Amino acid sequence: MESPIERLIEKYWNGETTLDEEKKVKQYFKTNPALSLESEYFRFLKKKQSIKFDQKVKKNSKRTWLSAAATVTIGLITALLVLQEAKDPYAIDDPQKALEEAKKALMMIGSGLNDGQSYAMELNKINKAKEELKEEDSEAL
Amino acid sequence: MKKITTILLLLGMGTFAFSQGAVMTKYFEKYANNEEFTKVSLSSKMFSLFTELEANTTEEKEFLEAISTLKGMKAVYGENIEASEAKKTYNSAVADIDKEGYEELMTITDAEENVKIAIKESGGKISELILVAGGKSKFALLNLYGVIDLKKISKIASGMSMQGMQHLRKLDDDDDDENND
Repeated sequence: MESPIERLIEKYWNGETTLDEEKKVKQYFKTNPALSLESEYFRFLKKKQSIKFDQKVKKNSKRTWLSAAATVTIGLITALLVLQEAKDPYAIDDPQKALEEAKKALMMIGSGLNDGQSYAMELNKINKAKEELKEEDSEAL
Repeated sequence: MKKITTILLLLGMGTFAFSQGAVMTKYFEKYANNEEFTKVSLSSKMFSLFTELEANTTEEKEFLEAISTLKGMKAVYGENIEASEAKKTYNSAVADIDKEGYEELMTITDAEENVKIAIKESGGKISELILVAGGKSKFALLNLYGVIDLKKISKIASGMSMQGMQHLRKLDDDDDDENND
């Protein structure tokens, strides 16, 4: 009742065929296009396979490009940040020297501040002297 | 795409935080290859190391106290430079400071030298101080970070100025040693 190929097809639809058997089925439909509906299905499968392959390549390349760009960007910025932190060619590592530099700096700032204060004080003195002169003037009158 | 935008945005914010001290960076870069300018940078790690030092005299104690709250220091010193160059550099540094939004604390202008001190405040405390000094042949740009106590700094300077300290003078000069017995 059932020819071996029909049994094989049955097996195929049940998903029980081996790869070799599948090949046989496909070969059968290729050589017997008369069984239109099923052979149509296999032709479709074959067509679909090639289309799928094309699409896959396109999609992949786009994704690869994007992820590569993202990776490079992230890598670059991370490197930049790390470098920026580490890039301190003028950093003083010797604590003794560092302490002297800090002292020197504070001295400059401090004496600047003190100068500012003494200027203000001198100004006050001048103003006071002026007022005293005025008072003397008014007293003399 | 959304993820990438978010990441870029975050990283952008990160770099923004790093842009602090833009004035110093500019002058560090400007004089990177100029031997006439001494460049100095002290890290926060160095300042944390200072807090472990022990003071022997009250003067030292005052000094260590003043620097204990600092987080970093950067400086550019130029010596024996041309007068026109010194003046030009001073003026451009002052302009840069104004542009960066520092608040002026004081300016001294006299025949010998010009000094400008400006600060940045946050939460009622001075968080950054910048000083520019320009003399006849000298230039100095100095930047302090951290919590800055002007009173303490002014106090140690008045204590040490008795020993003949001057602006722009190197502490490690030999002639200073005679005074620091």
